[in-house]
Amino acid sequence: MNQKFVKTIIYSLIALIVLLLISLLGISVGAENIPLLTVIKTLFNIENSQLYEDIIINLRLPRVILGFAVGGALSISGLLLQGIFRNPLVEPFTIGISGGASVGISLLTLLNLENIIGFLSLPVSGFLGAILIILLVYKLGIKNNTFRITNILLIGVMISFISSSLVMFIMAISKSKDINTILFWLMGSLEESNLKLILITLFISIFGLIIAFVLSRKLNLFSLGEEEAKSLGLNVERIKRLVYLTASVLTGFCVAVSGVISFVGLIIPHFMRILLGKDNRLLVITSYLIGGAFLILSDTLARTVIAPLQLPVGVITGLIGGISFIYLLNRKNVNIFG
Amino acid sequence: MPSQLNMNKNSIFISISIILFVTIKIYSQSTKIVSLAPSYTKQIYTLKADSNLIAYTKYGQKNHTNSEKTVVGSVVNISVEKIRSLNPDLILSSTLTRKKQIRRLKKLGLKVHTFQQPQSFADISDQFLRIAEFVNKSQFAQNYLHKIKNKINSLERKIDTKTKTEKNKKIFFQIGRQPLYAVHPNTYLNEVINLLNGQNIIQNRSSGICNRETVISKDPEIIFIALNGKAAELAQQEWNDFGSIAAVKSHQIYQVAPNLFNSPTPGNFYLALKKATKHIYSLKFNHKN
Repeated sequence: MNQKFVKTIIYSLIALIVLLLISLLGISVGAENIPLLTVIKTLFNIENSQLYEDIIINLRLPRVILGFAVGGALSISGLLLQGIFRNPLVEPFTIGISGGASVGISLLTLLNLENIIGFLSLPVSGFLGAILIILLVYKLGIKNNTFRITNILLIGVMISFISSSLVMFIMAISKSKDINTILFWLMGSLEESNLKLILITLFISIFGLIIAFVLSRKLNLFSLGEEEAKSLGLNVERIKRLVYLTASVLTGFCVAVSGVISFVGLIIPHFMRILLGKDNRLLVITSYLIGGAFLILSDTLARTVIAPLQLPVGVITGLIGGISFIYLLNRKNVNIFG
Repeated sequence: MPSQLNMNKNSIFISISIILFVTIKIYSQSTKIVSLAPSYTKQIYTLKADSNLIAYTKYGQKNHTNSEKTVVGSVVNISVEKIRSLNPDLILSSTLTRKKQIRRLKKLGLKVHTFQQPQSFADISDQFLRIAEFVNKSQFAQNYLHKIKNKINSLERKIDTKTKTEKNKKIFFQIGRQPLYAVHPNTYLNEVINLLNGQNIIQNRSSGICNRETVISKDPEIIFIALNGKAAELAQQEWNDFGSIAAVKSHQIYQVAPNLFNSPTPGNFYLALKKATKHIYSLKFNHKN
């Protein structure tokens, strides 16, 4: 059997076990102390307590599922984008997607459309804002039928600045309760009550994983450089566009559902690259699983550290992710793209 | 025969006892309430219905030292899980609580009543009466409101007498520092300004965000600052740098307690009005007032 294939299977299984253990922790821990045995009994429908069912099945489990879906999707988006941009600082939010979603949400709140259209209007407007920016950046990034990577990056960064200015403008003319809505959304949260929306996010996230895995071998060739990849018969232009659109749509959907949760898409791919090397086939699967586990762990800490108050999940992703990443980078003394 | 009569007597006695017990049990069952805003907590205490209150948000317990109550987060950041575990009959929420969390609570089958931000004393009174209804204290609330209204009327008369000889004063009421945020029309604090026969310099706006140039050009004669500790000090220092403002010249910048002015309850409304009146018109009150 191919040695690389065996390595992929073993590391993926380890990542899966880590994910399962952290998911169990996420379901077991919260503002309310429930013994682990009761948690397991409730999960398998042996315990018949409405209170435990509400807390474990209706409150904690959806958060864990959403954490897995969003964490995984953001991680592979980061991996894909870092792959085509060949820039270690690129993350899903660098190219303006979160900015577009933020403007969409802020406008909706300012115009008070949420009360008219309904509660799904928030993720829908966020997604529309993100899609608008994705198409705009895509259109502006193409010249002479060439998808210009550097320009895309710069345009994305500029659009992020413009978007944040627009959000600040909208907040300046909003009522205080609307400012709260916008701020909470910007902070990011896995607190979503609509199970259908959570399952759709999970489906899209897994679909994104499949596409990313299909693209991963081509991304390996791309890492040799555009010219080298072309000479090996790779349709570079097509791959760049496919990767950009896959990562952007995945990020747009995540940001629309859970707000801006930064660092996951930046740190996890690098983290896995340091640990496992540069083979994108292995990295796509492990980044997805570990990204999901990382976000579930961060969310668990965010809702328990100062319970009953909750911290924004981005605070924890930034702290844990940032510190452990610097530690690992110094300890291993590696050059990520070298 | 006598034994049958005795048995009948016994069964009647037992039946009456059961009926009495059930009746007492039903009437003694009070609504378990979770308050998600300090002003609702305060109103529940005012109604002497704190036995109904099982939990509140952080800072909601100010002036109340009951450590038996559970804290379920802050006004803007609650723990849905903690609230669910308490299994309350009713949750009182404001528009400041995250909509997502309110939807979550409702989805769990919990009853949530969301009050809109009151814009006048009438709104505050309606809110107070509604809370009283929830805790079966409507009569108490009516009497309390009647007393408060009488006190406000009495204050109004005093202010009217005073302002017959004085022109209406231009007032700037600051409630935020960065960004500069002021009391604007359609708020209950604007009504306080009107009752003071004052003139709010912030007019025709739906938001309280303003800039210093506007304030300086409107030249307020009185500046109220309702901010916490250090922020209030800094705000006052900032205004003192602008010597052209009438309020600065006449040293009429007053720091007032934010928890009194920013927490809308009938009692606070009256006390806020009284405090402001004292500052502006130098009126003296005896303690009964």
